Amino acid sequence: MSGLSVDAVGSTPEELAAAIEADLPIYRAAVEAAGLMRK
Amino acid sequence: MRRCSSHPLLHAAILMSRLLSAVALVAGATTTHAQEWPTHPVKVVVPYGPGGIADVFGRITADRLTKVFGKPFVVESRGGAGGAIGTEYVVRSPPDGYTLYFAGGGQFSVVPQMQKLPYDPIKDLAPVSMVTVNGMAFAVNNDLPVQSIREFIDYARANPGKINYGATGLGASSHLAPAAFAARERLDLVVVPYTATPPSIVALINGTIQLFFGNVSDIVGSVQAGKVRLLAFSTEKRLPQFPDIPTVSETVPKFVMTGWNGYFAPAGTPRPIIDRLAEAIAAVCRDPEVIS
Repeated sequence: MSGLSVDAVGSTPEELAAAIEADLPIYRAAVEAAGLMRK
Repeated sequence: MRRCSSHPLLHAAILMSRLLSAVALVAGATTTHAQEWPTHPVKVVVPYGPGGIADVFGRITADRLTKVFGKPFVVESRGGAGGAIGTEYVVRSPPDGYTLYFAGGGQFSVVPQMQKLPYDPIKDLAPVSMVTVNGMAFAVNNDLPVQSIREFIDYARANPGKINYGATGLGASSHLAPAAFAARERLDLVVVPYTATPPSIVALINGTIQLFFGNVSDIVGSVQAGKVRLLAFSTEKRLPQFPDIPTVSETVPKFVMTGWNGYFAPAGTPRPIIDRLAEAIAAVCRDPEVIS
């Protein structure tokens, strides 16, 4: 995977849930900036 | 004389005892089911078309899980509607450990903001394990007279509406990362949509577009061939593979965007199955062959 500049990482279910939580505000702002927010 | 068993308190105690026995039976059955799982093939639904990066990683890990658990883990591509078709299929599947889901973070943080969905991915899917994390590469056409993110920002400010960036799909990381970057720096960049990644990379090389800011894996080959210029990564820290390439956040504080793929199961899947899967996936991710 590193050949594709992708890191292989295992996680616990809780760590994965935390990653989703952390993503939400970042990607909400990005979706808004791209003008893709659903009406 | 009233029979003892008809005493309300005793009756309640008997009911409670039966209830506890039933709960214990169900718990015992669940544990047994989890210990025996899997007894037949496990479906791994990837909510995208075949051949994409999630499909590739889904197949790599499914192949390893097949060896670990001794039953086939079969990848099934169910693309469409930005991933919503495959996702809905999984959330409507029985939570018995025989249907799993392998997808990117966008199914949780992007698609629900763009579409009205008949499900809630956060409530309807149980996280199992992350598998991959990747940064975004900020790469420009070789003729663009900039050598750094600072110079890019200054050039873009001096040339509003004259820098095109390629987006390989509505809501793709190559669409969202540059849009977020432009909004943050108040730049007027123009999105040029493409239906797939390869034509957008060709467009970057020949100068039809000047910027590609998307998955590293999509552009790394062209960077290594010297066909485009890599200015930065969107990761929090510099990548060990590219120690001389700065992060975007070294110039634009706290601008960090990463993508990931991971395994999920329908909500309600027995926790012992989820834990067994998470442990197995963590082991797969430590396998030197998989890492390389």
